[in-house]
Amino acid sequence: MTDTLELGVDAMVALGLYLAATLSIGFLARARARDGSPVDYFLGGRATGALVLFFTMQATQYSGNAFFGFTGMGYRNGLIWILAVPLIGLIITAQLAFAPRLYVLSKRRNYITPADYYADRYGSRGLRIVVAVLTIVSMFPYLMIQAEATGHAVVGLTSGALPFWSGVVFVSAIMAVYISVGGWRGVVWTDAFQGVLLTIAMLAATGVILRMAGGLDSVIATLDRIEPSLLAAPDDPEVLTANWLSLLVVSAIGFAMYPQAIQRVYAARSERALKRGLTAMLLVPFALGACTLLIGLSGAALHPGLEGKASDSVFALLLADALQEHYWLVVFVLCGVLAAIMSTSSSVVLSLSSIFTRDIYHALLRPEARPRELALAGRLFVSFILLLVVLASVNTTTTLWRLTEIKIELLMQLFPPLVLGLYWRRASRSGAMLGLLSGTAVVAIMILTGHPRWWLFQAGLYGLFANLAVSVVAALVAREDPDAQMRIDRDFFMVFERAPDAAGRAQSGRSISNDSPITP
Amino acid sequence: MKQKREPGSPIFWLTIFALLFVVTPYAFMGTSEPRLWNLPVWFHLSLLATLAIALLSAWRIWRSWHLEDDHD
Repeated sequence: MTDTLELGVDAMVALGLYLAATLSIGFLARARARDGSPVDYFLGGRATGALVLFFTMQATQYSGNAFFGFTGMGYRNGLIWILAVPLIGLIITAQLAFAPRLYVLSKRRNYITPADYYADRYGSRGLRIVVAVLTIVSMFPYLMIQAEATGHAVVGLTSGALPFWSGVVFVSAIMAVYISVGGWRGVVWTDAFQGVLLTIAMLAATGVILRMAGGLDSVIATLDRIEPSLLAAPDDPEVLTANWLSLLVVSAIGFAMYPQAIQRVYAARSERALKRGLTAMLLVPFALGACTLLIGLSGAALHPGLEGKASDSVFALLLADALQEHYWLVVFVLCGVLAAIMSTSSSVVLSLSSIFTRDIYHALLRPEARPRELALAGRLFVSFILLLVVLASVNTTTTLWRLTEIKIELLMQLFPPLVLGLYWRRASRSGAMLGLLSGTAVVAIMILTGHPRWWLFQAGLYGLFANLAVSVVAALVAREDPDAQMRIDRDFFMVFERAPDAAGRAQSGRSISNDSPITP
Repeated sequence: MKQKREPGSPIFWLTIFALLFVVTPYAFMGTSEPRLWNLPVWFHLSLLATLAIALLSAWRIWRSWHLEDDHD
C-alpha cells in the first residue's frame, strides 16, 4: 500500500532507530523480570499499573488497519463513518459485562489464559481445549494480516530496498527477540512507546492531510458538490440495521473477547488500576476514530473515484501527496504505522504463546511441567508462532484469508459462556459446551454457504442467539450434580456476595472462597 | 470495608441499547439536512449519543464498581 512512496536513505535510518529503540526496551524489560514463572512471563506478575495498562490496551487495539482499513471505510462511507467512534469505544463498555468479576477471579484463582476461566468455572478440560482452539483459529489469520501490513510498511520505508518478504522476516525476528527476552513487560513497555508514536503519527497525519484538503469546511463543500451521498445518512433502515447497528454490537462483543484484551484485565495491578485504564480507553476513540473519518473524507475530496479495495490505499495516496512538503512527517507516520502493527502483533503473539503453553502443552502434553519449563516453552512458542505466521504469509491459502473475515463472529461465541458463568449459578458444563458448539456451527454454516448476513443481522449474532438459547435450555434440562453445584457456589458466587449492610439484611456467616490456584 | 458494587445493571444495559438507536441515525435516513456548523444534525446527535455512552460507562465504572479493597 505504501509501495508508491519514494523515500531516501534517511528513512531507512529512521526505521533502524525505531527498531533499535523497541529492541532496547525489550532488553530493559528483561532486567525487571522477577521469578521466571509463567505468570511473570505472560502477565508481568499481575503488577501492571494504570498508565502502562492504558497504553498497552490502546496500542494493542489500534493496528495497521486503523491507518488503512479505517481510513478506507471513511472514504467509502462518508460521514456515517463517525460510527468508528462507538465501534471502538463500545468494546470497553462491553467489557463491563465481565471485567469486574473476571478480574477478581483471575487473581484469586491464578488465571493466565481466557480458557483458564472456562475450564475452572465449568470444571471441564474439554471446554479448555475448545476455547483454546477457537481462539487460535480466530487469531492466527489476524497475525497474517499484520504480517502483510508489516511487509508493505517496510517496503514503503525502504523504497523497496528491503523486499516484501525480507521485511516480514526481519521485523518478525525483532519481535521474536523482544517478546522472548522481555515477556509481558517487553510487550507492554514497547506498546507504551509504540502507542505514543502511533497516536502522534495519526494526529499529525490528520492535521497535515486536512490542511492539504483546505480544512473541514472546504472538504464538506467539495463533497456537497461532487458526492453529496457521502454526507447523508444511509436511506434504507435495513442497511442501517444490518451494516451499522449490527456491526456495532458484533464488534463490541467480538473485540472484547480478544484473548489479549482479556489478559489485560488479568494483568492489572489493582481494581483501581483497571478502572483507570478502562476509563482512559473510553476517551481515545473520540480522537483516533474521528481522525480516520477526517482522513477518509479528505481523501474523498482530493482523490474521488477509488472503488472497492483500491479505496483502502487512500491513506498511502495522501501520504504521497504530502511527501514534497512534509518529508519527515511522512517518514514519522510510516514509523507510526509500523508501531501500530508491531504493538498489536506482539501482544497477540504473546497471548497465543500463553495459550499454546498453558492450554495445550501443560494441560494436554506435560501436566507435570514445572513453572520454569513452562516459561521456557512460552519463549520457544513465541518464535514458533512467528515462524508459522511468516510461512503462512508466504504460502497463503484462501481458507486462511476467509477466516480473517469471521474471526470476530467466532470469538463472540465465547461471550455467553463467560457472562452466564459469572452471573448465573445454574450455568452448566454441558450447556456451555453445547452452546459454544452450536453458536460456532451456526456461524460456520452461514459463512460457508455464503450468508455472512441474513436479513437484519450478521452471522455472529445468529450464532450468539443460538449459543445463548442452547446454553440456557441445556442448563435447565441437565443440572450440575450437587457436589459440582456446591463447588460453583462456593468458588464463584460467594466471593461476590455483598458484605452485611448496616441493617444486617444481607446474609452473613459464609466464608469467602479459598484462594487455591487451579490446576490446569 | 466498602459495600461491594458492580457496574452492570439491567437499566444500564437498556440505556446503552437505547442510545445505540440514536447513534445510528434512523431519524435522518437519506438526508444531510438540517445542518449545524456546516455538518448534518444527525452527525452531531450520533456523536453526542456516543459521548453519552462513554460518560455513562465512565460514571458506572467509578460510581458502581467496587469488588475489592485496593492497595494501589
